[in-house]
Amino acid sequence: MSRITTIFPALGVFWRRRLVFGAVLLLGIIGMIVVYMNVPSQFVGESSVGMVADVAGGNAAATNVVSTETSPFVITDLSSIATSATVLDRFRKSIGSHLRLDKLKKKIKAKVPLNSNIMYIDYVGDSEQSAIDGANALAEDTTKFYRQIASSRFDSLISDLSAQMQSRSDALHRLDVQLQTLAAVYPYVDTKDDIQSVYDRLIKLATERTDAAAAAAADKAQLHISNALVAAAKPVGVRDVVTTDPVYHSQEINYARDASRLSFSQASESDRFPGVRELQSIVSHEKAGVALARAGAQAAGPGGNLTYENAKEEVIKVDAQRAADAARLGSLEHDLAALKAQTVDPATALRAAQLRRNREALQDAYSILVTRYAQALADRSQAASTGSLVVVDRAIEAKPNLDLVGIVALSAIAIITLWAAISLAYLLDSRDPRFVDSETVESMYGMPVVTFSRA
Amino acid sequence: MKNVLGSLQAVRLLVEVEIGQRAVLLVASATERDGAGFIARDLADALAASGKRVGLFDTGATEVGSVRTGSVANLDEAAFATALQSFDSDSSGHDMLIVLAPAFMSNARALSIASHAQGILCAVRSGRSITPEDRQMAPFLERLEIKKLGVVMTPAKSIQKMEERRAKENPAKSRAADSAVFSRTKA
Repeated sequence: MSRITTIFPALGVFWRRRLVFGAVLLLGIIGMIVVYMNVPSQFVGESSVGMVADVAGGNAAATNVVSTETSPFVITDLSSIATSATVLDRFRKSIGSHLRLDKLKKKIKAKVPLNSNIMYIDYVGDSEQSAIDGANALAEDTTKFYRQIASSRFDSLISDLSAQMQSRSDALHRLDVQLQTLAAVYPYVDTKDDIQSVYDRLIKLATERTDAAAAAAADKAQLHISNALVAAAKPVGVRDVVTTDPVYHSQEINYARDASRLSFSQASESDRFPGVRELQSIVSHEKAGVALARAGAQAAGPGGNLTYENAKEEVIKVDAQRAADAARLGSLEHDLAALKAQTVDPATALRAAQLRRNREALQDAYSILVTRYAQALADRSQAASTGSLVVVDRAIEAKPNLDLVGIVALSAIAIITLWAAISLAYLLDSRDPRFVDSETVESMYGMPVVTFSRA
Repeated sequence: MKNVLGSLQAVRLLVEVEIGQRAVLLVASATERDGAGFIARDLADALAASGKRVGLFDTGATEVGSVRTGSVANLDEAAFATALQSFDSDSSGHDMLIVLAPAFMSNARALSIASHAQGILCAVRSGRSITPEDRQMAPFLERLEIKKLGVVMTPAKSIQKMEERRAKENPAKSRAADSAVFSRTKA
């Protein structure tokens, strides 16, 4: 086997001076470790997001990572989105940072491996927790912004529809106010009736008034009849009262009997007959008593007589009915007068009708807008859920990371160390007075080195 | 040993190609302990393994160890001349003579010995310091009108290992013998 120096002279130098070369490298590594231990500590947290077709129950682990063809963006665009000014601004608010965006951007690294739908997001923080929180917050903000972009084409439509709906709603409100004002001034003009309904109502009121007037006239005639019946029933009632009185009846019977006996005595006896004169006195007294009782009954009236009382009650009922019909007639005449007052201002009715027509048209337009608005919202939701971006993995740990100063320092030490090791190896090798390579032997002997023999 | 033989297979082929089937090959070194003796014996082994009958001569005064089939002896000029004459007359039965000449530059007979050879192979111990003898090697070799096959470099550790191995394999034959010529044939 030939020695390696015959093939790679440069590597042969390093091999021959491996002790010096290794010692210098060791010193450099020690220096790098010292620098590494003394530079300010930083940590990097890593989270990942992925493109999915659908979010199953919000569980990122259950999502299907799919081709980017279903997305409005390709996966390689995501790194630009993650470090865009909009996302950075939101991210800065999320973590409560006051860094400028350009400086914040330097703490972020978003990378997409080849042939992968996963983007890894690294965030450098001053502590482990801040690195973890930052990586997770940036992943969340990136996914939110991505969904916003995916659904933004519907936002303008929804915004425009919302503005139109608000405009229509305001117009409807104004019309309602006008109609309510009109109805307050003209009670018969409400928001539902039109002029035809007013006329219909007028006719109805007029008919009712006619009926009420007829009823009132009938009530008046009925009352007159009832009063006549009461007047007719009064003497009958008095007589019934007298005849039905047992005292009076007894007096009248005694009077009649005694009067009969007196007539008989006068017919058969002379006036000088002793009993006639007494009988005449009794009959005279009984006659006076009957007359007095009759006069008293007449003076007391027919009270208690059923016929008379029924007649009086009928008068009261008829009079009450008459009063009610008269009142109803008065009310109808009042309403009729008011309604007639409305009908005498057709412009008001026409205006109310116009307002109502405008309101109905406006209501129809508003309903159409509501339907379109709902459809736009549904479309936006679908767009946001299809081909969307979700957090695949959250950062749960942070690894130590060097800042730029540390990287520069370590790089400088590494370069200087390597340069020193190489230079020293070549310097020592050039000053070595020994057969250390084939070139020296060939120059010294004038013959080629044919082999390097080993035991 | 296998490594040494393996390393010298290229040298064997070089020898066969450059100096032919029947020739005298000089194995030399500028100073002692450059491993010339080991290279000479290993090369003789390699040539014998390929079917050649090889004779090995040591013209120096240094004991260089042993070979499997015999000891190496210090030869005087007369013995060398006899052996050379025997080789030339084909009475020795050898196809090739390998003449070992360590400390080549410090030997007054070197030029005389070299004049009888068809080719020369030099040995250098890798890692040793360069001496004035080394610096004289190039102009000296230029004066020789023989094939200059090249230089075989051997690390000092390899030489030490070869010495130890040979002493272990055949300690009784490590001493110098009286025989002038040792034949190497295929086993």
